[in-house]
Amino acid sequence: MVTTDPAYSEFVLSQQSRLRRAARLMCGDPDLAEDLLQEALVALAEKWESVTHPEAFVRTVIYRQRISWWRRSRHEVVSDPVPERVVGDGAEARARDAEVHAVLRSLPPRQRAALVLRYFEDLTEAQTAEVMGVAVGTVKSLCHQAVARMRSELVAPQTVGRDEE
Amino acid sequence: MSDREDDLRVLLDEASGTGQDRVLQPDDTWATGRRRRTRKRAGAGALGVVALAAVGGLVWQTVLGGSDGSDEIGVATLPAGSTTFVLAAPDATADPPEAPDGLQVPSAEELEGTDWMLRDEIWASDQTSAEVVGSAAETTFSFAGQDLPARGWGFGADDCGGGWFQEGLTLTDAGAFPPGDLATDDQGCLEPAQTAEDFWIDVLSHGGSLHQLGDEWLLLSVDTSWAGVEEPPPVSGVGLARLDFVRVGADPAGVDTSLPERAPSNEELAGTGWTLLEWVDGGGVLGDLTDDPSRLGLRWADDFPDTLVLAYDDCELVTVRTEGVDATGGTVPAEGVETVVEADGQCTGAETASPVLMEAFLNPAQFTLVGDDLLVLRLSLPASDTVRD
Repeated sequence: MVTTDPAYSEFVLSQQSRLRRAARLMCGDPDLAEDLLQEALVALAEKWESVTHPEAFVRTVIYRQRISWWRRSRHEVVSDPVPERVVGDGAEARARDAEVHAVLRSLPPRQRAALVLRYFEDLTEAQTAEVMGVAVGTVKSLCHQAVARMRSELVAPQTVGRDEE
Repeated sequence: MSDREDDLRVLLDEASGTGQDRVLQPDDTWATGRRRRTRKRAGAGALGVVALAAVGGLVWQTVLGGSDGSDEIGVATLPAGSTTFVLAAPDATADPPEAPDGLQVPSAEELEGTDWMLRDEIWASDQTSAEVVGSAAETTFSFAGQDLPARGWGFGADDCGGGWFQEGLTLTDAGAFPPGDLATDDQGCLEPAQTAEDFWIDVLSHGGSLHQLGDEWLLLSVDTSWAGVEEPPPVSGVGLARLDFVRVGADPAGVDTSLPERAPSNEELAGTGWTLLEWVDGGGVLGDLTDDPSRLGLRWADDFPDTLVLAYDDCELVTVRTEGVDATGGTVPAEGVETVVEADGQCTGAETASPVLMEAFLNPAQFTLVGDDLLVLRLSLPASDTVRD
């Protein structure tokens, strides 16, 4: 019988919701996101003793795996929108969320990852660069392009990241 | 933080759902991870030669690494700006040293027939290799020998994924190995091996360097920013041009063209000037445009991202208003391209060249850097008779 490290349990239980949401934004598919998250948590368990920053580790694994899967599939998985929270009758919110996911799916994986890490996970440019293994300047470029695409594709584009310019 | 950035955050926050519609049980992922760990440790004694053999169909002999020091090529330093992974000989027992005392460049011959395990440690970093690679796959690097059935060197991950250079290892006096293509096959490995395979193929194919610390440690320095980056398009076919510029003031003879090619940051390009050193214009389009392409120059504005100017002697052929370069060096996007050539007869040929170059920059051009002093520009040059007014 394997006894789960209590700190690992606490990390998984407290962080999985946010990590799952980030994974969904990165890949646009709830089932794929679940597989990404599960594999990342298995990898974390495997390397638990040597990992100093579990959140950063899981984010990196999700990001690298996402790139790897995208390479192999070379196409985006078109799926139902991510289950959304219900606000009011929910119709307007669902429509907007579906629109956001459609634009996210149209972004190249690295742009999408940079956008999610910066604007959903609220990482700094330096932290985003570390997760992605790239220079800070690259993060700036990727975010710039991603925000520009979001701005141009979404309805009411004037509300999205205009100060990136 | 601006209100508009907040708007974007709200959109993403709402679109991500609650994340609470499913629950992963930590006991399940923990048990799976620990089983995987136990299995790998049990198999570690066999060392990963099997991995490469499985990938390449090769049978490489395992010979312990080691040197009596008599073949030392030179005392070396680790390259700046690279990520240095720590590889251990199979019999390494202690933790890797913290100081690079005795660091040296191994000879390729010394490494023949040796195998090295990727360690968790990253040299001079608090990150681990798994954190950088994004995979917990056990990874082994192996170097074939001259007398073995196969030449080359490469890596294997979790006894499944892997890649290998088919040419023998060559190292410069500084320990650098050149970029090159790695062979691989896609066996449908489990995820950790797949991710590790992609990572290592991406970064190793752009070159790196190897240094040795005693008999037990090998340090592998690579540019990890190549991981996940799509390759620059090859230069082939009529109209596809590659222009290699040398930095103004740099000695062309001192440019090390063996260094890995990489995408520049906008900060690196701001305020720089370049003169054309070599070019491949894929069909003579460039030669048709100018009498002597070597007189072409390029400069980026100080207040970048703003403009870049391609000039022929003192004649500014085209001014590109761009938003900088993206992660692969592509211009983002060439929103405004203009010619400033005045038809006063002072710039011979400019009236022809300028519209063609202008058209070319309307498609994203791509810039990459080789070292610090060589700037490579790739762009598609249309035939002059197809250029619209």
